[in-house]
Amino acid sequence: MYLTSMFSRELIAASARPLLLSILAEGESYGYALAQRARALSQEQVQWTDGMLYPVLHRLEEEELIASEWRESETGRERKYYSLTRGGRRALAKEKEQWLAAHNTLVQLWKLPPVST
Amino acid sequence: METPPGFNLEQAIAQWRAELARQPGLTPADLRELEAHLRDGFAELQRQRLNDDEAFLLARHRVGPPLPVAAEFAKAAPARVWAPRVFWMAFGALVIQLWQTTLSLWSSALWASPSVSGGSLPDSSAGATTTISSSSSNAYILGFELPGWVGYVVLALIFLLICGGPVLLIGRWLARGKLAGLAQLISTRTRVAVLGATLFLSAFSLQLLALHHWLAQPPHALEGSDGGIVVGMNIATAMSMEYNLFTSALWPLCLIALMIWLTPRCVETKNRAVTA
Repeated sequence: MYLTSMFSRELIAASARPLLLSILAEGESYGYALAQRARALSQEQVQWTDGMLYPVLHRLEEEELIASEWRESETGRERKYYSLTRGGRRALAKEKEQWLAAHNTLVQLWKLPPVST
Repeated sequence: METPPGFNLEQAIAQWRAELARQPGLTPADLRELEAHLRDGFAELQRQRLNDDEAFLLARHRVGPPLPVAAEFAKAAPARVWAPRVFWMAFGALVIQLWQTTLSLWSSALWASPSVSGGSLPDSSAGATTTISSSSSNAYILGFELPGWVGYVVLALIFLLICGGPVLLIGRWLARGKLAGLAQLISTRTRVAVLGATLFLSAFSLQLLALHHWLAQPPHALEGSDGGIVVGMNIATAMSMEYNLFTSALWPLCLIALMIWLTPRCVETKNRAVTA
């Protein structure tokens, strides 16, 4: 996943992990739907290359933060569904804490209200 | 909207998939997942009343260009790129090792001098072995004596042909990407084991045959000016060669074990089409 205008490549790579964990915390999903949701959430500011989403998913699966399963969808098409594991939930809580800490550090300087954790 | 009559979705997907499959680091499971993504994207764009070919082009664009996508997969799992490379290195080393040992043993057996008087005895570790008679310093090929440097030039040329010929031919053949048959032979661990065992056993039996051929040469060929001593030396050398043969067999066995280990345990050979 990378972008054209607003985000740097590094920021996209770093944020992909909490982003995917957070979307999966809403319920199980598959690659295409995850990409669509990410695109909608970023309000088209981030130009995703969908294919690059999968290596991130596979790495999360290797770390056992998410689990996957091939299943037939209601339309009859085969899809690989991903869901958050218990370890994934813990990892997400940690990610959230870290991202908010970084955010709150910066907003103090920018005279913006901090976000409570 | 109308779809131009020339467009065939299955054909377009197969082409796209083949292009992706050429990139290193993508497994069949990855391709299957990316194809499912492409088909999902295609179906949605079709619902937005796009032509089939337009929908396909846009869906393909969203998945991303093959090279950077594959590079990202490879970055996430470097072992996928390196395992096949190390496999081919091991395979090359195995073939060269077996070929070299077999060749040097046969050269020892066939090119032995008819009179081994104080000459060098065949050495299994050397590539080109000439048996030189101390009185004339001439080379012998299949029992024929070749005078002076001519013999060595002929020997060198024969060796160049036997060693260099197959290396050039096979190397060129492989470099052209004509690996289709070979890829089938190494698709599972069992097949790799069978291929390795076949190569090893055929080379090893050829080596044993060479050794016995060499030992079975008529005694007069082994007799030197001081009679029995040369024969004794020959048997001692042959025994040490046999010993060398068994120790040198450890190398190919290690390489075969490495190749089996590097072959994925469960390769998804079933290329299940995801129905649209």
